[in-house]
Amino acid sequence: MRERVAIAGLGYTAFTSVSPGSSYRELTYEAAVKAYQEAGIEPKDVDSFVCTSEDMLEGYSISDEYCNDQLGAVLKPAQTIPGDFLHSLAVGVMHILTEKFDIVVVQALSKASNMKTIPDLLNFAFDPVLNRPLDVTAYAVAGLEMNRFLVEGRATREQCAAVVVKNKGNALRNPLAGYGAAITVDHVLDSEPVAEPVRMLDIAPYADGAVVMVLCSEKLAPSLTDKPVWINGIGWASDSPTIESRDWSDAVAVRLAGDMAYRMAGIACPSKEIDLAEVNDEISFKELQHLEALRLFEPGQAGKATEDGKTSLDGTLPVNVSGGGLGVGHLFECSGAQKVLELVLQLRGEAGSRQVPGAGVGLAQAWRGIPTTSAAVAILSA
Amino acid sequence: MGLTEKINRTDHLSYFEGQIPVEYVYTYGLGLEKFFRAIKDKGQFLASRCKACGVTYLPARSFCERCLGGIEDTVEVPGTGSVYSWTVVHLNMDETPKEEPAILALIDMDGTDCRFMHYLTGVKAEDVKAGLKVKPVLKAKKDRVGHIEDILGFQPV
Repeated sequence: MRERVAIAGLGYTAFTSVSPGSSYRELTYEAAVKAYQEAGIEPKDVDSFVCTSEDMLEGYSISDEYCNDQLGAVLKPAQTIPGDFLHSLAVGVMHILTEKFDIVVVQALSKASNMKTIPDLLNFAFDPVLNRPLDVTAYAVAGLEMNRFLVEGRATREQCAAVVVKNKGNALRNPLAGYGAAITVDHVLDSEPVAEPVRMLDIAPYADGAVVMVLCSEKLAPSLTDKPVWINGIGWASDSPTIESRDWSDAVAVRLAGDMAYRMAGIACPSKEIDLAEVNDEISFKELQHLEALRLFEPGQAGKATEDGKTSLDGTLPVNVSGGGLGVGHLFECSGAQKVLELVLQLRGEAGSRQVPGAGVGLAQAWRGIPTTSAAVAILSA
Repeated sequence: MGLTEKINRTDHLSYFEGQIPVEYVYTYGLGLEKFFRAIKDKGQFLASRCKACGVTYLPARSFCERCLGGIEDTVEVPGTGSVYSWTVVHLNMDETPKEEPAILALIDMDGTDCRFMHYLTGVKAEDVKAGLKVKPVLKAKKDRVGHIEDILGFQPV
């Protein structure tokens, strides 16, 4: 049997709409200190560090060079992944599976409140020749995709709004979440139109925060933690980057990433074997599209399941009990980290008033966000 | 490890504002060069067909993203298409409200396996539906420079 990788230490900040009292370095530092404390290690014990960083989001043209010092990774093996935390987690898992590294630290950060021109930054992610000159915002692209989802009858507008109501409601039970609220479907439908059918409350609002995790080999796990959470499967995939030739109906990259993770974890029937899921909900309908891509619901069924309460905290498959992006906040490349964090808390039984009873196997899914087609999935168990 | 001190007065918070001037040129390359020359000189839309995969790309490109085979030939396609999806855009890039909402559309381009993203003109939002047949509106030939904005938008046929 393949050796498993354990999450043995967890460090994180709260996820807040602004964080003016801390620099981006201090956010990571706060999370790192907690993670090392929990695992009972010091940076000198760490064999390799994997950071997550996107130059334009950090405001540096070589942002990876600025990831190390706040983690204690100076003069140590360190590398940076320009993707989601889950992509970095995959690298960390691979390091340990080589058996050349016993302890690996993985980090991600969002300091979204420091970015003054986010719409321009996201526009800069489009093809410079074909798309960028049209002055298209990322949310307009989300509007195109959501409208197609509705035109195909994959869900109703109200079912998409029900995702927002559920996730913001869940966030009220999460002391780390920045955007909890008790709202109704009508609040969502009556909110300001952005790129119809996308309205303001359909969009995950930006948040700041940092997450650091200590990974270790199976043989070392008992010496670092008495409550290991295991990474049983991990997968990642990308569709075409071009607006012109990508799939606009299904989240194909999510499906491929999920299948890769399921194969590694030995999961044959995801809808029966997964106890809870934290999936990307950067725009309300994305939660439904992603749940279907992950084979957790049949195509066209996730919306009704949401309306029927099946994805609620007390449902048959609780989804985004943390509050998701809509309730916790959109954390850019740290988004997947918040999802893994929630699973670790749930699988340890430490999720307080939002604890899913008997949580044994959890799924975390990340998407790099508009306009990307890159996704990653991790399967964790207690 | 850890901090025993934090800033706990809002009037003690400071920051520094920075900007970077960022300028680039983006080389068209073989495929886009052919595509934009045809738009500029003839008002034609050129696509590329991968014979191995049977996929027709628009705009023309020099290799197939599925099999990675090179594609040298181009095929002319009509430039017409049908609306695959659309959105009514209310905000500008600086998040201020637009004076007039714009209709951005994804258009299934006839004779290709690709979709074009562009604005719809000459139609009201409530009259747009999936499958609406549209045609390109080009700038006058003398004003065309070989750029995506040579296409002003798409309007109903």
